[in-house]
Amino acid sequence: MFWNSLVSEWMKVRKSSLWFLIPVGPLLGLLLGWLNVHTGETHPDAQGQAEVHDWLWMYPQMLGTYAVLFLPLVAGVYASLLCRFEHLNGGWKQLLALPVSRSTLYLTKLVYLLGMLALTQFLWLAGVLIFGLCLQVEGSIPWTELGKSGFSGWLTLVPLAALQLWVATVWKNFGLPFALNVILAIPGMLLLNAEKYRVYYLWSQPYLGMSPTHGGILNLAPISFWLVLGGSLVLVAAGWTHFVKRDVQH
Amino acid sequence: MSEMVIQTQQLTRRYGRQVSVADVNLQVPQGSIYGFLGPNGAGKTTTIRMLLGLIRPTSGRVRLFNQDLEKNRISVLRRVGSLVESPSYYGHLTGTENLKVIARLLGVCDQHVAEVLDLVRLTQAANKQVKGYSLGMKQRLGIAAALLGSPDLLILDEPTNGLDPAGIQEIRELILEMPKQHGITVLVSSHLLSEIEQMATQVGIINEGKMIFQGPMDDLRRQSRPQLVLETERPQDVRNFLQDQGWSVTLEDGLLSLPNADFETSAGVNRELVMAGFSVYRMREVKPSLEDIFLDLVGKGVSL
Ligand SMILES: Nc1ncnc2c1ncn2[C@@H]1O[C@H](COP(=O)(O)OP(=O)(O)O)[C@@H](O)[C@H]1O
Ligand SMILES: [Mg+2]
Repeated sequence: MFWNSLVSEWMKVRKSSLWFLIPVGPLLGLLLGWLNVHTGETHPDAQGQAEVHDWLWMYPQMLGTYAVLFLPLVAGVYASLLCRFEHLNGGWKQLLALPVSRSTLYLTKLVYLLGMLALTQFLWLAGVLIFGLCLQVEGSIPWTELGKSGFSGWLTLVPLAALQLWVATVWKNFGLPFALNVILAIPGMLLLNAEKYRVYYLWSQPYLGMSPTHGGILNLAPISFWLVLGGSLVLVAAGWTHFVKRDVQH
Repeated sequence: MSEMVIQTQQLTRRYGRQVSVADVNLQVPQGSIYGFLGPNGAGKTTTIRMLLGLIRPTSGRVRLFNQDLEKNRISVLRRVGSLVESPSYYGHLTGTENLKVIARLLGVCDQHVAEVLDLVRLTQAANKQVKGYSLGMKQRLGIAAALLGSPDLLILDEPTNGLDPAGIQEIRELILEMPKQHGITVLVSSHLLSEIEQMATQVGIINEGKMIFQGPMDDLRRQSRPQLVLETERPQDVRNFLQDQGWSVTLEDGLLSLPNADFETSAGVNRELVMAGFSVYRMREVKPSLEDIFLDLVGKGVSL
């Protein structure tokens, strides 16, 4: 049943304009990252010498806007677009009157959302590689660090994605979830330099997880890691139960 | 007693303090076309949403095919096709693709998609994006989707709403075929009596959330008890005279009417008037139309 549901969803997704949107986040992130690399402070070790641009110097410089702002935003946009198929023309009442469990349908949306976020991370990493190779960054490519960064960024997105999916299944309106998303992302930006507090804020986690400099579990402080796992569980469960129980009018 | 496909027990739904559906006992016999009739806002869609498990009743139960809906939702819904309110569709997909999305979820093979498209005469437009369809075509696509799982019960909520006469005619013919050719029981809602009258074998009339009539269409027709209408000289005096004699009689626009037109009443009234020396110009039996009965049942103030 679950497989049928995935295939059914695929038929809607395949023909949608969703695909054109996926590269947008990584591309904008790369653009701003590139600007940052060029205008940013020089490497502390460089001390005015010739540039010592190696990968692990370049990567964190590029990461900021993408991880703090674009990633949480695209999670919300994808969630809205995935639910839009049904919101637009009374799809929910048709879909949910079929002999399919609501859990199946909810998890299908979640799988696509997380899948699209994974794809976004791949595009980002691919972009970073191409960018680095073009700039002829010194040293060997740090595959492990990059892979860990990509995966950890994805993992830290799960609670945000679950919240966005919850909101997107309820609100037909596109702007409202987006506004909520921006409002929740802003403290994440402000907290970036507050080492004490940022570990507790869900919207700061994608940046922390993606930054190779932070040790711990998948770049995350243990408290952050458990926060992400716990947050994922709670928010997936909440969105899921609500979806299963809710009144379907349209 | 034929088997009931839909049975509800004291089905009730509240929205805040408003009671949208109140203690409704729906009884839909197998093989019937059940016309679910009521003015706008009467509670038809709310009832239908509960029949499909889209919303939960505040109290009461739904039984489909003699099974409790809440406990056996999936297995029961496998036998139900539905269309609720305005048609649902994916605008960016073609008609065929729309049905394939649903066919997958139903576990129905793709060949069946072509069959139902043919049945609702959409084969020509099958490969066009649905956002370009007319309302009538979307409605037909919705019916095709409802038929896709070869249901035993079809629930159609105002399927002709907003259609032109030709479209209405087409849908009506489709519905009429269902029990005959496919053995499908149909529940169809409408706010127009004329529409239900032309299709339904059973009728349930709902108003302000309450079921005010339910039974065979013929029983409703039988409710139209004929009245006796008299035209006489000096109608005011005649009224007073008849009332003194113990007849219940009303005077309106110079016409006297009695609520009963059997032989006894007709003969009795006639005899007394003639003996009292009143000239009787005309006596006739008037049968109220179904529309009159309906308006009477739902209360005069409601516009349809
Ligand atoms: N989601 C809702 N919230 C509040 N009131 C509702 C809701 N849905 C329906 N109603 C109210 O319930 C009543 C019945 O509505 P409905 O079942 O749509 O009537 P019908 O389909 O017969 O036109 C109406 O008064 C309507 O305003
Ligand atoms: Mg309605």
